[in-house]
Amino acid sequence: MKGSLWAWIFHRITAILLVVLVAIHFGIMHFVDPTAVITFADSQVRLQSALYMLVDVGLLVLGLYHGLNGIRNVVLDYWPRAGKAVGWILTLVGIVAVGYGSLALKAFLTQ
Amino acid sequence: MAKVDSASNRPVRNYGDLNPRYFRTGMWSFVLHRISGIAISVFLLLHIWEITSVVRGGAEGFTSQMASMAAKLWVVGEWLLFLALTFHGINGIRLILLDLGWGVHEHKRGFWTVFVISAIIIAVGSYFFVMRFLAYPWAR
Repeated sequence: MKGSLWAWIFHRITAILLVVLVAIHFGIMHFVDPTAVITFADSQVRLQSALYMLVDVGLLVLGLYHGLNGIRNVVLDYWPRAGKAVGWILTLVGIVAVGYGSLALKAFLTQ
Repeated sequence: MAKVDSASNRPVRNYGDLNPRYFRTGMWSFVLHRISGIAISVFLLLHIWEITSVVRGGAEGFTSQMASMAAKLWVVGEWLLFLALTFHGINGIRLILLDLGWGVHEHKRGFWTVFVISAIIIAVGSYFFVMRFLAYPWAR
């Protein structure tokens, strides 16, 4: 199978997972206690739970893949010749963002 | 202008499909999915930047970053994000079902089902944003 077909399949797989993960994340952050102000201490308590950490890591990795691949799809629609180069640039952006985002998640466990 | 479709003898609008006046349900779904998708992607990168304030400023940096964003203007932004996420997610489910062959002969019904389900979720969820909006100050 060609790379683009895998990209298409992963776009759908990540979509289904993200519907569930975003609903959990958004529900906890906005609907459980709508007037709460987020603090480091509260976030740290939440992230001690392995399940919560799994949701956040999933959102970071799957969300970035889905979002950046979506941007790539838009670029391919209007500027197909740049598709390959833009694809590599977005891959780089994704790797940096996952790496930097992971540092934040790690900080909640170590600080 | 002035081009005429030979079959129907009606004038053909060049780029008429780009004018929202002539959008029908399918075009609205496409445009809203695309705009919301780009908006959410941009938000995601900004969100990562905001959360990684803990890397740059530690626990205090993170807490003060979050406190500075507990203001009415940001609640409006979060609400817009909620609209985008809701529509994009519900419409995305429709697209996946179409890929699996569900409802390919009933597109119109699919569009309206997505609009109605999204509207219900948005109507219910907006209540929480109103509460947040009222509780927060204009600026900190």
